[in-house]
Amino acid sequence: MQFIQFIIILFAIFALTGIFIRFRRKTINFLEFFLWSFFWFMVGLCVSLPNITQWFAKILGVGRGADAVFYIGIVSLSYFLFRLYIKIRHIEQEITHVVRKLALNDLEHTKK
Amino acid sequence: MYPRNPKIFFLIPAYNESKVIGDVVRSVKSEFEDVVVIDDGSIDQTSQKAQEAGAVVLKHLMNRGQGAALKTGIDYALCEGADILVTFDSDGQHQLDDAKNMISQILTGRYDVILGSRFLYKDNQIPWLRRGVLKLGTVFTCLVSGIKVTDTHNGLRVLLRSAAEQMLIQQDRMAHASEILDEIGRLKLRYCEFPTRIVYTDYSKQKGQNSLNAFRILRDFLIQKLGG
Repeated sequence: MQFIQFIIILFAIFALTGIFIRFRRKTINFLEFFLWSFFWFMVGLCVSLPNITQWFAKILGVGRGADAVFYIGIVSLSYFLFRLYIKIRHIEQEITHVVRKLALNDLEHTKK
Repeated sequence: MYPRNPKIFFLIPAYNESKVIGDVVRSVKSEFEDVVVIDDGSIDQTSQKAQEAGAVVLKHLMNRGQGAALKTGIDYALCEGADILVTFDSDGQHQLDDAKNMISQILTGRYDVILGSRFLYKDNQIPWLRRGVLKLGTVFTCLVSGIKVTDTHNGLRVLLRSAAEQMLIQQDRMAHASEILDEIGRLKLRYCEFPTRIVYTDYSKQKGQNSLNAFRILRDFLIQKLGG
């Protein structure tokens, strides 16, 4: 096992432990727990057994296993970034809603 | 169709405009009773100056953008029974006479919305970069919203209550101007443009939006159009 594999596996175990603790404390729900655990489990698996990525690359029709991981990584990150952007926008709209309500209520109070 | 004495509300979103807001409010207040300043989280004396000048002040606790401020003003005006809503800039760029003429125009009953246009007024001295960006905006608006206008981001507008009630304004920042045009297209509202004189002072140029903000406006507007 190469040193980089050791580091990544250690990090994946660390991440999985963190996810489990958060699930037990109920700061994340079951779906989040499942998805993030699956993600880090797959990271650990691919790093421990790199040949798996080769098999996966063949299915996708990509030359090398590392390329398959790279392409999937880019697509997934773009998707998560977009989801995050939309989420932030919704939160911003909710903040605006609250700020507006407060402004209107304040004036109402002042009038009384 | 309209009450004999329609209730006309001037809505003035303001952010750190304490230097000029008093004069702007006094000027409008000299002819119109209902002047509402929406202080969008200013850290200066904007609220106090506006209040001293006789405006009703709605204060946002934090800065949420001109679109958000305008929506707050619209909600308030509709609650107070406004028949006609006028959106007016707080930096002193707009002329009250233009607003009055636009109000007369909407009272003819032929339109739901009157939009100010700085390009229809020949003597306006518009900086070349802003002129170029705004012209690109008109092409974009025509393609996306199907609305043909000469000025996409003019803050001087006059709306009938019925139009304001139907419009969905969700853009908090500057993209609200494009959104309003998009809503006019979606709701098939009757609209026309009216020449408005814009006075670009050093103050207003300094306070006004950077022409490069156009990219941010475009991004916000497109993301919403794409369902974000």
